[in-house]
Amino acid sequence: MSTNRWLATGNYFTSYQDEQRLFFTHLDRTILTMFLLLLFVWPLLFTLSNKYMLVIDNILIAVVAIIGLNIVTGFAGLISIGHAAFVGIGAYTVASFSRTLGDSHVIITHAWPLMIVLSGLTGAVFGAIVGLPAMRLKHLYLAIATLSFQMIFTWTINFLEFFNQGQTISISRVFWFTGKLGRKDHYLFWYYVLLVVVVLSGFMVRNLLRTRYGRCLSAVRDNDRAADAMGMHPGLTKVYAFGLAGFFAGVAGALHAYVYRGVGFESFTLHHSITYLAMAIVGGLGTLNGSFWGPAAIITLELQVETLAEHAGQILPSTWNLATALKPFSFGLVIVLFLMFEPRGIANWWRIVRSYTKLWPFRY
Amino acid sequence: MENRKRMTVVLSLTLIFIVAFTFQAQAGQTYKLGLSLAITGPTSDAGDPYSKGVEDYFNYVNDMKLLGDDKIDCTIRDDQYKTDITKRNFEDFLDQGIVFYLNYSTGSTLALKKDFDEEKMPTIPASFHAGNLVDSSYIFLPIASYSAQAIGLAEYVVNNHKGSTPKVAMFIHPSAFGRGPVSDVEKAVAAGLDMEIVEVVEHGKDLDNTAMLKRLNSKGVQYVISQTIQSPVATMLKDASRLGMVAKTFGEPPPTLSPRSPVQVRTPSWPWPRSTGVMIRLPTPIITPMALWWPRLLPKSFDAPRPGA
Amino acid sequence: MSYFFQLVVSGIVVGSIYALAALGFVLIYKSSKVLNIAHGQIIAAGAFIAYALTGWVGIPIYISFLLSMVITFFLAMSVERIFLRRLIGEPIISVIMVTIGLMSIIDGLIFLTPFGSVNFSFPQFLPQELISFGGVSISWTQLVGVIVTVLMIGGFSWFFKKSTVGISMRAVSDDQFASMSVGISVPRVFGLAWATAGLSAAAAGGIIGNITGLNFETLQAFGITVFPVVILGGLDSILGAVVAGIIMGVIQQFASGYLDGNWGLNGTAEVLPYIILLIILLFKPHGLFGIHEIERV
Repeated sequence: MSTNRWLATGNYFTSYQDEQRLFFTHLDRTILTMFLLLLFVWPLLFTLSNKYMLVIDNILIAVVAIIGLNIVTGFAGLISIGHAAFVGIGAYTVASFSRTLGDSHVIITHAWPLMIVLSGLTGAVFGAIVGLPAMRLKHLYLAIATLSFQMIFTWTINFLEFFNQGQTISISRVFWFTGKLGRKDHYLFWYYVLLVVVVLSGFMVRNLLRTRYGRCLSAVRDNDRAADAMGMHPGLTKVYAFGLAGFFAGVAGALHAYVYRGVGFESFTLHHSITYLAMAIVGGLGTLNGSFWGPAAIITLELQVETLAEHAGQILPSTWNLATALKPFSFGLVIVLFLMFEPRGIANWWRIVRSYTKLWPFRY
Repeated sequence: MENRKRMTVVLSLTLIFIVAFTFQAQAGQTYKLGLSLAITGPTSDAGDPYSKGVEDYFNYVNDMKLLGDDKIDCTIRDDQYKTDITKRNFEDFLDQGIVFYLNYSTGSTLALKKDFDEEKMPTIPASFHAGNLVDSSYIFLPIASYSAQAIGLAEYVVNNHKGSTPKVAMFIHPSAFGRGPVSDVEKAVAAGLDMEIVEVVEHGKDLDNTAMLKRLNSKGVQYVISQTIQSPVATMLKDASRLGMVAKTFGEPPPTLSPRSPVQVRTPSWPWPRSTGVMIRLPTPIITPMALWWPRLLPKSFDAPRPGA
Repeated sequence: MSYFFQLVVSGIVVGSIYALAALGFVLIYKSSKVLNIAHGQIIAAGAFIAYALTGWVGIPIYISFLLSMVITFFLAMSVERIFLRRLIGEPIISVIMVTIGLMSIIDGLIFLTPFGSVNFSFPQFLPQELISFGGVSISWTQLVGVIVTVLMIGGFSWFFKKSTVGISMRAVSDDQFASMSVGISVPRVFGLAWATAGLSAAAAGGIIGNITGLNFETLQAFGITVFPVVILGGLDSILGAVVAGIIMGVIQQFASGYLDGNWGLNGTAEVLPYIILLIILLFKPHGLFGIHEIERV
């Protein structure tokens, strides 16, 4: 350990405990604390329009979902093309309460933290069930098994009368200590809830990776036979990776249901699964901070392209479909360029920046 | 010094504002409208021309000075048929201060119903789903709902059918948009419409409807009422015409038919306005995401000697 | 009974079209171990090119189908050259993601053309009569589709079994390093795999476009629809694609023929392939005909 507890220009690890610490220097901890504080304080200082508040909420929901996806796809190396279905499971857990008890029953409006946890648990159960084929299936075959789950989920929601055949099931506004939330502070309130959830899940995953269960995941990803020989159970590890992913997805789903005040199957289709994958990859698979970068980058990009397309549409004649075409085109281009030139995602840039500042003013 | 600089800035800003407002006062008022629809993604074959129609219509209104000096400024946004994006667009439009909102899909209209009511925002969706109007006082349908249209068709069938109770099947889109009218038609039948709904078929991405058509035929279905988008109907109609099941005209004495190709089906114009009194009042040539077809399913043997032929 | 046979025949017809669409996946996977999610878009592009050539340029329809196959051949080859060549050796998920990105890019390009928003249909060039035998009937379009599928699949099987290029493609799929050491250009083989997949996609696009009409959403959704077929057959087996295609086609027809409308069920043809796929995968994790990879630590 370096003598200076604030700055360290190298690793200075002398024991495994050192390597496992959450914060390497006091500076790291301070910066993170300040950053978190800033996240909590800024809405008090100036107000953002509802649209952008919704966008930020949306990013945070996606972050929770991507944290889950990163566990299964990033850390455990199991491609999941059905993550939106897990998110949907969470949302529909809330929705089924709304269907049976009415959309403004006390359980939904007052005991919403309980509902969120419950949705997470339902997601975990379904995740584990869907993860069962992972005991036998590998690679793309497993990916398609998750795709099958996605398809079966969509069909079931669309078919069953109980789920209103995929039409929106409304969910009432929740109560806080100050009474029922109004339309004005709805997004702000959920911003804070989401922030707490994101911070908690971030620390959860960070700590998970320090335990044997977390290391199990990467061992199974890198070589499951070798992991087997080392005394781990690859099948069970995969199932529990799916379970964990399902948990985070379920939580994200419940939050989605509350923020959008309704659940409809259109938010949990294959398209969304693919978008989640894109977010995870652009952020950087197998990294925790990638789970934050990815959703932020993809959703911001989407907004930017939308504005760009709008401007292009004003200049160009409307008979051209250029404005329409621009959106998918640039979205695809960004993903492709990223993968071609920075396959490790934005997390890699973050790593470079960090190691640069850490060693500064030395080169290495 | 500091103060003077600030004063100049403030003064010039005020001046700019005053000038801007005077010009605006001369130019009349500008009403902001918002439209969020699926230009890309599912049902874009209807959404894309819809957006062009709206854009051109408001250009027409402004150019022809239909509102005098007032102008309409309608922002059009693509939501790719995703409810989440529709909600975001709607919030954005609210921030921009729209006075009127145009929506598109059934799903998003139902999902945002509460928001429309809370914001007291008058809304015209492109979806004419009857359920839009339930528990909602700010959604307006400019023409008859899908249910009314389907019932209108059913009535048309009943009124023009000769012989015993007509047997009808419904061929619908697997979504709220497709399913909506079914229960209403069933209600109409329960209320005494002399018609029998033999089967309700929700189509998928089928490449071959021969089996389904044969099944309907064996159940004695004589008419099919469709409530869906174009391409499944096209597939079904092609198969139906191959099987010789599509009647050329309805009700009227058929012109001389060649023994086997009673194909030519009428394009989905709106045949029922006269019977139900519905007029398309929307100023633009709006293409609804619905294609209504009524191929008359006939056993082949009935084909050649038709009464009156 | 004739209803039953009709379902079987329709199933085989639909299934063979599935097989043709699935062939593109197999060709690419066989040599480069990539699952091309953008295949549906290439199918759509092939159909649109054929329509543009005959409808706008005025080339006779048969020739324009052939030309569209040639064009997509080079199109797919250049896609591989531009986007995927760099990614050789990257983890599989990155490569899949690139094809997802590609999907969006091709979407964007197609939205630039009228095909993105307007529906077209091919001119009628086949007889409208039904071919009937014993109460079972199929259309000429479908029959031609089946014939083309059989020809293409036979051709590709021969190509992989007998021709030098085909054998080198199989060698690459077996072991890239070994095949490099005997002088096979691995990148060229990858390019060729994509090109042939593009060719088969155009053929599939032409046939599907004739059946459903040229609607972009419908055509591109086919890329996803045939996933269960590809996986059921085993990702790297042409025979598997054919067998699985026919199985899935028949299952779908039976589902919509016997299940739909009874017990309040509807639209089962959409979901049943996936359920059956899951069940079969539990017993045969590499599909029906997929090669078992033997892993050593």
